[in-house]
Amino acid sequence: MLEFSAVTLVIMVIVAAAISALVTAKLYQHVWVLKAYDTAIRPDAPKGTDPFSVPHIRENFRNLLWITYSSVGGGFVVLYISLISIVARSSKTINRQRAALERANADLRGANEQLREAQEQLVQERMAPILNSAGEGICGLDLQGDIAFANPAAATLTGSRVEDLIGKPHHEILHPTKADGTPYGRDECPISAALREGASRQVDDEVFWKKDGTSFPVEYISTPIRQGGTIVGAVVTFEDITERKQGEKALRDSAMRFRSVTQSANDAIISADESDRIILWNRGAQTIFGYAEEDALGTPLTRLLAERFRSLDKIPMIGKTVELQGLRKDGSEFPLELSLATWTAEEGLFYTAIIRDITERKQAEAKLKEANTELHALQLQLIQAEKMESVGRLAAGVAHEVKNPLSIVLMGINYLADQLPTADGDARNVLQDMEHAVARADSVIRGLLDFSAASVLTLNAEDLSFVVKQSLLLVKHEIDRSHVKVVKELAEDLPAVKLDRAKIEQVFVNIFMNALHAMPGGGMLTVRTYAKRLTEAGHQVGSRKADHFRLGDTVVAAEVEDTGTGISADQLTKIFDPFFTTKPTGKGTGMGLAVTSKIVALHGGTIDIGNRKEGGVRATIMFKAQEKG
Amino acid sequence: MTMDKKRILLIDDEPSFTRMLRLNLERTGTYEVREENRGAQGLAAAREFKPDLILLDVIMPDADGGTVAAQIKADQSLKNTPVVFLTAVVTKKEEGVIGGRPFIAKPVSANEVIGCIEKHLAR
Repeated sequence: MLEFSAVTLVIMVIVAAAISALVTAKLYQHVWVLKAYDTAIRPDAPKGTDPFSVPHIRENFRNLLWITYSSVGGGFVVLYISLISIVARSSKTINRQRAALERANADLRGANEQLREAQEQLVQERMAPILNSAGEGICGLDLQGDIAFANPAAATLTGSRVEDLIGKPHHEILHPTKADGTPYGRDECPISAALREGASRQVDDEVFWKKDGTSFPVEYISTPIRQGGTIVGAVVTFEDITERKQGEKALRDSAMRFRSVTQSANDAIISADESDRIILWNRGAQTIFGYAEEDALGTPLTRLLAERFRSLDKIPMIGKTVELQGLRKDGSEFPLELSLATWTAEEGLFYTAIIRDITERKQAEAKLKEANTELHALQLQLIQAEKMESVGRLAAGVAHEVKNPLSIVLMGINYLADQLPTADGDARNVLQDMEHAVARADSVIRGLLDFSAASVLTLNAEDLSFVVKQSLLLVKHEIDRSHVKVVKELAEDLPAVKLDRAKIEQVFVNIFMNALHAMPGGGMLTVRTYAKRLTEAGHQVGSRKADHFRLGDTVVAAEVEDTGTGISADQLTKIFDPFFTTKPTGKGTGMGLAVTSKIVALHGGTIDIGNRKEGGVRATIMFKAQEKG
Repeated sequence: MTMDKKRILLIDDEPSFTRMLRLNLERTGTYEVREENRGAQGLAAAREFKPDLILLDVIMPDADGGTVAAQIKADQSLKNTPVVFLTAVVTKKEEGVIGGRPFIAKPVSANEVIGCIEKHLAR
């Protein structure tokens, strides 16, 4: 109040001084007005004279000044007194109003507190059913971490009663130790951290303990409670996630099993989405196709197939196993076996292909096929050999039983011929025909015997050219008689061949005789021998067991060519069959080439007979050369 | 004249053959021929007939020619008597029996047999 008065006084003084100055200035103005007036009424007064030098002006001015100051000073006094009175009255009013306000404020605070308590009660009343019916455990903690509130679910989950939880430290109740039983310090506890640091925490990899000492996997959320920015406690909500963990574990185990199966499989296991983009690529796929997983994912499944298979419709393949050609990263193709299945997920339809590289299987199949072919060929050879053997045994048996009767017939013919009169020409002719018939029958029997007797060989290292020369000598008479020219192209210094010379001479005699019979009007018989190293696979040359020769073998060959009429194609396939002959009846037994073929085969050699382009027939006989040393 | 005839013993299980051969040999007038169709009786027949040459079949039901030949060779009175086998030579057995010994292959003409006999008697 005193400050207010002093300030007011100063202000008043300043205002008064200002007014005085204004008044003074006004008075001066009046002085100059008076001077002007005086000048007007007294035109003789000199110009520029100080007005205060005029006595009545100076007197008037003094009077005016006094009157003015007196008025102003009195006014100020009145004003000050009035102001002091006003201020004094205002101060009292303010104090009264202040007291009233304080009282009103206190009333208001009380009302607020009541309202808040009412609200809290209302909240608690409304929240209680919710909290009590919640499936999750809910605990309210005070600043010390003690449980101030717990809902029934919290009690059930921890195997306690609500009243047993209230007031207990949450850490010791909920998780005094970790899942493995090791101590769980409060400083590590996320719930305590919520109280300490005011941060919410969500945890799903811990366990809570029950009163009976068992634990359960839990997911909990710890949230601090603030009032006016100050942490006043925390709420912990938690739930037993045993089933979820079991589900997660089952899912994890399943995924692990799936991954283990897919990754350990040698087959390629590939999944693709509906747009054909690869979404799963296992190690087997990498091995088979050469693409790393990161290179394969997202790329089209059809990229793994050879170009010509890419447009195939997948639908007919679903649920089936098909064989296609795959395409590796390096561009090489390979045979594959593809089993295609579909499955549906939320994202749509997916394909899973199990692909097996069947290169080895195909190769094995090819080998098996080849082996089967070879086996078949061997079987045919065996059958043929057995057939020939049977024919041989039969021939031997038949020959023995036939030769004696033939002997009797022949002896009878001889006897009768001696008894006939010389002039009986017809009878003699009959007997002669009979004798020829016996000779023919004997010839057939001899052919059969040759055939059956050909299985035993006396092998020696022989020069094939020499054997050929000896054979030519054996048929010299027939050659001379048939007017056939013989051309000999016999190599010298041929590698030795292990032969039964007598039987091979029989072979060449048979071939020479056939050639001579094919040239009844004369012709040319060319006999050639040579040695060569086999460098190309071909007839009877290869890696099959049925092949007589292997690549790289050295063979010694003899070729016999005639200029006769040749052999028709249908006859060529039968020429080695027993009793097959193209000669007139009585001229051939049909056993010659059968015996020849058998003898050559017994030597491990081959005989091929075919028509020459130039006309006539060429017989080629080959034997494996004896290895040196 | 009879004394000059060469005695030929035919041992063969085939009577028709021995008869036919005998007729052919006898018609020459130079041979006295005896037939024996039981192999097992071959030795006895030879001892009794004392032939100058024996034509011996190889395969016979009761005794093979090799056995009979061995018996003849073992007999002191017959050991120098030439034996010529008559054979079809179609089996290993026949080949084994005749070995390197002289033989005549059936069927054979009478003249061939006679030629063979003469050749061996001349030795």
